[in-house]
Amino acid sequence: MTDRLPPAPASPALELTALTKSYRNGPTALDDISLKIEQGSFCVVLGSSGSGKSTLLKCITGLVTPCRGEIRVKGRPMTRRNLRTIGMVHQDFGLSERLTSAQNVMAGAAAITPLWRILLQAYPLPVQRKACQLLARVGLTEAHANRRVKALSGGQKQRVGIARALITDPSLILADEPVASLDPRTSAEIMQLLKDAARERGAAVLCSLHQIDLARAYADRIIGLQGGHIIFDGPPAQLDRAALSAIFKAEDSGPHLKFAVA
Amino acid sequence: MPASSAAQAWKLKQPYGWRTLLVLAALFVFSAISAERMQFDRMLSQIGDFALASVGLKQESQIGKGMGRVVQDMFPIAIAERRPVELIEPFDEAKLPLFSHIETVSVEQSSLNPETLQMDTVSLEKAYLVEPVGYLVYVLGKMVETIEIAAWASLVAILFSLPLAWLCAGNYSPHPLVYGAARSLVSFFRAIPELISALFLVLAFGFGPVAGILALTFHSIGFLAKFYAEDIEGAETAPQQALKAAGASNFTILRLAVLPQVLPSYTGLSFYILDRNIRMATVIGLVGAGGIGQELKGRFDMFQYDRVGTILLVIFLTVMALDLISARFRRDIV
Repeated sequence: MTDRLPPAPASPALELTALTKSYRNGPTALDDISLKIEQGSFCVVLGSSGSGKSTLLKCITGLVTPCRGEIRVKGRPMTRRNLRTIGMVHQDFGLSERLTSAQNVMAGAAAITPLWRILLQAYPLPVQRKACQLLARVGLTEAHANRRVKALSGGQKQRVGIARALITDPSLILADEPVASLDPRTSAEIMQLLKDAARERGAAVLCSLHQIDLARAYADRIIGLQGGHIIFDGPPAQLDRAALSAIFKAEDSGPHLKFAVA
Repeated sequence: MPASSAAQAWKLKQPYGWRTLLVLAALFVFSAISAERMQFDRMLSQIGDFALASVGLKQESQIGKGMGRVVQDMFPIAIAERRPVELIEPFDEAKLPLFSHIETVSVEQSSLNPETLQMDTVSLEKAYLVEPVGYLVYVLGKMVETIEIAAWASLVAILFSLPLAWLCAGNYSPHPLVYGAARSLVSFFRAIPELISALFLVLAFGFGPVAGILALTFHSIGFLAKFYAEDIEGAETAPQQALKAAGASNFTILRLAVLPQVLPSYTGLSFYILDRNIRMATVIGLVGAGGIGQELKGRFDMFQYDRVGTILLVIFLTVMALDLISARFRRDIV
């Protein structure tokens, strides 16, 4: 955190140029995607399963290697080293169930922690304090902090996930279906928390969702993805029935989608 | 309806068929041939003889004769130790070991008188040092040594298997060549039985616990590294992906996302290997690799079956006690 590079104010939080990814023996997951995310904005990538949302986010963090294209975060090309400027919230939480909440949050800072400290799980005091502050910010208590993640509810787990994503003070937060396994009420709470926490820190959020109502409620900007193409890009107000049916037109999801659109 | 009439013609897969019968018949033929080669007929007739003899329908059986002598000699088991004083070096009558006393027996000793060429009988006073529980204490000491051998072997094996498992795990091995080499090394370790490696290690390191510890360590590494690695490969990927996305190194991911997951399984495996090593440590003593087995082999070869009895009893009780303890321990931890 001490060696964080000074931000270049003019450049967007995320800039994708001609990003393309096709899996072996599969369809093209991302086809020539170009995109700019402004600093501090809350963008939702909306799409059905298989539309390329996950692949898009995974390309940015390097979990998937794109075939072509360029990724720049705050104007700098994405490398393994600048991963620390990105925080990621995962669909299935991605937490170590047998570690405590605090240990999971501190693990988010693993890339900038010496190996011997990792081995002993002896994080520097500033990291420990920061983990406590973040856990308090996402609405958990000291008891939660010292409890194994296994013992937490789904909503609490995702709160830990958000705290972990924030520990490196990222300028960009990626959230891959952060509320996919949560009930509607908890989903709304988590989305609100994600939005507020990001806004306080001036971080941009790129969040993939398949729930239209959540996208409308929280997004500053919605990017509709279908078959690896961006087919909608604009504020929620512009998201009309025509746009929605274009986004969710995948052939394998017939009748219930009409219901969702209506 | 067309759908249901089509369903009438469905064929469901049957669990058995004529092929199953054929395989069973072949297995039966092969096992019959093998049983003949393994002299099952002799075994059955001997067991039958023994059964008849034990209910009094037959005079004696081979099993009865063979086992009877040993078992008779075994009881009462040897608890005390009684040694001629002149064989103890150095011997100080003022400082006897705890709870021991000196027993003097007069012995008639015959010898040929070279002058008269007659057998003379001389009465000699012979002193013995008697320790009432001396032999039991000695055997218990040997048992402790056996447990020490097993514990060291298990500890060293665990310490070596942890990094080796990393190289053996397909998803974390640094290079396919390293993976192949590590896997072959581990298979090789697993393939040599302890008793055989101990045989050679005794030649290299001489009699005693060193050979035993090494023999058990090699085999344990072969077992632990394989199963540790398989646990790593089977660990849930979500936490690993999350740390990878945060830019963590492989070591960090293994430590923070994999190890916590596999730890219960590792504990269970490590306890199993300790349990097994204690049992194996008693066996490899037979080829001179230290511990209670070495004592057992020596006494057995000298036909001192009362001492063999003591040793067997101590082994039996120890293994049973350790089994109880480790079962309870495992239940608490895992």
